Amino acid sequence: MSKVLMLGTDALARGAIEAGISYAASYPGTPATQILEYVAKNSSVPCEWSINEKVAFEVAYGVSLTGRRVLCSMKHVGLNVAADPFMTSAYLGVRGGFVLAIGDDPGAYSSQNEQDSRFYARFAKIPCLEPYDGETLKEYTKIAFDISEELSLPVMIRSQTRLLHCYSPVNLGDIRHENSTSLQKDPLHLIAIPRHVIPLHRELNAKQGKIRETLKRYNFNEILPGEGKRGIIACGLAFTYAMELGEALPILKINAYPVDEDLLRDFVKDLEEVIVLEEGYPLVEERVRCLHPRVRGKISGDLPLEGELGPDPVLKLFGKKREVQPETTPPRPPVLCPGCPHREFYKALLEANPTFVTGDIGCYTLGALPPLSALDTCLCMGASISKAIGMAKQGVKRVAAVIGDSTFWHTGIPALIDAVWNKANILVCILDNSVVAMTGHQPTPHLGITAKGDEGKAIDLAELCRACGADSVVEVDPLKKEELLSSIKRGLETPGVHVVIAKRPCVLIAGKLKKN
Amino acid sequence: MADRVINVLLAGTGGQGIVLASRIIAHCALKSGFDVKESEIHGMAQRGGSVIGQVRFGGKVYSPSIPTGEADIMLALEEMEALRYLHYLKPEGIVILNEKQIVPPALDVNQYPQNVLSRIKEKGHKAIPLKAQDVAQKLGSSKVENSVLLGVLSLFLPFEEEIWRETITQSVPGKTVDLNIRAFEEGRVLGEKLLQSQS
Repeated sequence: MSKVLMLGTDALARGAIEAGISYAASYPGTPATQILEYVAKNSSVPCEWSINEKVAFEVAYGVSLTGRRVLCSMKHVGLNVAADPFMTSAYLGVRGGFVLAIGDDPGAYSSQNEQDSRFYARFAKIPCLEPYDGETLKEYTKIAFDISEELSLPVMIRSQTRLLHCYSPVNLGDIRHENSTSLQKDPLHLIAIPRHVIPLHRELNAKQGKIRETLKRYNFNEILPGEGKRGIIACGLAFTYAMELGEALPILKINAYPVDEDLLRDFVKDLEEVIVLEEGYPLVEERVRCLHPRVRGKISGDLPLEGELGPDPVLKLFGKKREVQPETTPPRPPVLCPGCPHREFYKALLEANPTFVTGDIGCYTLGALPPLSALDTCLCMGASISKAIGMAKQGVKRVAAVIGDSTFWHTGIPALIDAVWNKANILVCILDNSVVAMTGHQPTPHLGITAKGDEGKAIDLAELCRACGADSVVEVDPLKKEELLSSIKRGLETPGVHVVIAKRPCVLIAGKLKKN
Repeated sequence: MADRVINVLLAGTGGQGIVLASRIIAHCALKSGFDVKESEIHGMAQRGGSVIGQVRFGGKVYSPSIPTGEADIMLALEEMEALRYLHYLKPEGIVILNEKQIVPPALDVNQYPQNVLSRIKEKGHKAIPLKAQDVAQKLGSSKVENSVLLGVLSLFLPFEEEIWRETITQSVPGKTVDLNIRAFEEGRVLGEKLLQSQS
């Protein structure tokens, strides 16, 4: 079997394909986007870009109910959106293998926070595997499906930008057959109503011992013996930093959670000092501090609590870091592309002089930076409209919400309905460039193309806004400056909920659209 | 070459083709029998921001990230970006410097760093400066600029020339193969000359 170079996202997706998945669902988000793209382009497995992560999770859960295997992937903050079905799916359990692949983003290379998804796995009481290279990304994902079916639980693969965007050699394996479909009605286990909850929770708790036994059988976590009274506990990718030290110290390699307490005890018992290395928040360090008096890591202040850990602080802790002096250079922040229609929109918005502009997540968030400085807040997907409602309700006049088309489809729609229902006086600007531009031009519902490139059914954005009850909805080409400016001004000055759709395709796909 | 890990850093801006260039190097390493990891950060980088690519190869490579102060060689596609990541280099590290200045839209031209080449040399690094775009344009297309630079880089890496040719052929669009191969060869010739003139 020959090795091929694969991107981490692709290796993970390949693992799921080899495990015999029958479907995959996802919402785009760096660094997880390419997982679904790989499935769409490199296999015959049907799949979908879902409208948001909650829907993706529920669609995937539906696939699992038929007894078939399914991959659900998203970025870390996407799991916040999907947290509702996620938490209770652990109570109900799964039928066909259900693997939830999460791309964390320590260092926030393309995210609004650095949250650590291992805490979500602990919170939901489900197993979590944490690969450390391309090969383990593929193999662990494959094994995760077996574990999921054995335990009847969703299994999380936790990875991160650095690994998912790393190209490394991977051995390809055979592709397993798909599960056959088998529907089973089982009200006690499939219906989460109050009188089922405590028995279901009891079952989930009873599974915890079995989780530990199963993870142990696969040897995900193991002690690599060494010399001396100092030892390293290295989790996921941080294992590679430990190996680069070239020290003969004993290492406890952690690749699966929950970590067996006996294993931790056994490892630390003869050590004088324990060093814990992990990307993300100090999950394991917290546990080890209860077992040993001398633990060095993030909580102790020896390693940084923020940012990507990377190899530098680890080398420094061991006195092996070469001192370096970075040159001072002006920053080179990402900017809106030349010819981007968003720029024309922002110029008009600034000229209309709104009191406060609530922003959202996408390419257009770059409008918050100089020289435009056109957004006053950015929180999370879909929050622009809701934040504007809150401000308007406190008497702030001339508030504008700015949201991209894909973000609007994702979580903006309920907020628009809320604004109409509660009679907020706000202007909603939807920047419609026809795609999810930021993550690499995935299709959105009004384009009517699916993840596989097949024809879907297109949905009209303006009609939808009208159906939500907006007091006015206008579509304007952002290059028609006067028309755009007067629409914005009218929306800011007239009471009610007014929607201005600035409609022009992303410059990066405009050519492609014309050809089609 | 021993089993020690060689660290290659590529620095430039979004849109300059760092990802493809990094992957070509990674493929050459794998074909030459090395273990390899190539690390790139996508996302915001697409929008003209600062970008680095990291390629590490050797007997066994664990971490995808090069520690600062440990890169053996830097291929800088842009001057200011060379300076930004200079501290990744070992004291004896080499910089292949594409003499090209891309001024960020929000930056006053006067604030763009001056004398980048001499600042690199002041740090004690060996620098190989060239204007790859001029070489590419003479061949017929500024789009093959990176192949010229890879040609220079190839003189410093332990991969057979044939492996480079094969990998470039497999990696670039079909219509541009010949031009890219010529650019690569031109880069090798130019690199040899620059090295001779320095010694």
